[in-house]
Amino acid sequence: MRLAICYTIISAENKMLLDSAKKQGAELERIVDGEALLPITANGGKEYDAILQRSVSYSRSQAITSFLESQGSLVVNSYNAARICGDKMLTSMELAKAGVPTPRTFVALTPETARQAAEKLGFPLVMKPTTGSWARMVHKINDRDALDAALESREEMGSPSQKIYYLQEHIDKPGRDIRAFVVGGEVVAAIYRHSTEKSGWITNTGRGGTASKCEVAPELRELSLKAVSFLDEGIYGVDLMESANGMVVHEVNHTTEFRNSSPVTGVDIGAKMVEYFLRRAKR
Amino acid sequence: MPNAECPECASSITLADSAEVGEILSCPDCGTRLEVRSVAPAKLEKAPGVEEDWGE
Repeated sequence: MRLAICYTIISAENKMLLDSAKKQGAELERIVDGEALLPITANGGKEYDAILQRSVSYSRSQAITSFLESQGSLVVNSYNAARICGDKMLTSMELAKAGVPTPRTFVALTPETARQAAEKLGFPLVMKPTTGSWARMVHKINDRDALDAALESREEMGSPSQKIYYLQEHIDKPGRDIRAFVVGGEVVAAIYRHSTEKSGWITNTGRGGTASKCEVAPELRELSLKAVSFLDEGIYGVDLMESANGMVVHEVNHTTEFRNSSPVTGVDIGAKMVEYFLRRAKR
Repeated sequence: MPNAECPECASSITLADSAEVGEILSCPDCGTRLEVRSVAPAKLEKAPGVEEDWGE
């Protein structure tokens, strides 16, 4: 059986996954997405039985995963799951359809309609690009002047995809949000992500937020599983906020990072991911 | 532990024994993001910038 891990760069997580695989007696071959050549033929035949997909580039991940799946390989996470998770608009639509509590959201395609969305949502609101991560270009907009400034910047300097305006109700969270790790239908761990002076209102640990252990209480477990119910079984990071009216889900990540989460939760999240991946490969 | 030179500020950087080709690190002196291109001999190049569609 040929197994592989696909990545854009060797991140700390990818090294942990490779180490975990070795400890579990499996050798993962490496596919560096930027170096892969994908020959389009009538009868390709699969090269690998299963691939753990960890590309950080959404576009590359979509291209290479669709290719590998069309060859008949199992890819975790699947093309369809990554397609939804990698696009905040698609994620919001699926969360709403699945009946998962999620912040009120509008998508507007021009600055004029973005202002109409702001009138409906009220200030403060949050404006995000539909793709991308690590809270880049995620803005808390406190008033009309700030909205106009952000819209003008995106119109003048943004790429076409940044001119899709995703505007969301701002949730007055208690200085923290939650990341729950769902591995094959099980919530294996969760962390609180706290905002700090360095991170500002944002909680991403890659931006200076800090992590602490969050107990996986029944409500959190149930909501996290519901938030992935419309996705193929796989490995996900579900982001939740504690609002005045209970927990809401705002994002589902398909290549979730975990380097800061394993030490605080005491759960070897990478090992859980590899265990699951190997189980799926043998099914 | 192999030493490499930062292509930006020329300072000497010691790679960890576990360093791998493709790994990204920051120069402790100038902060430039660097990619390990080779471990024996140790060679670093400026890392590709984070693209708009990169994420988790």
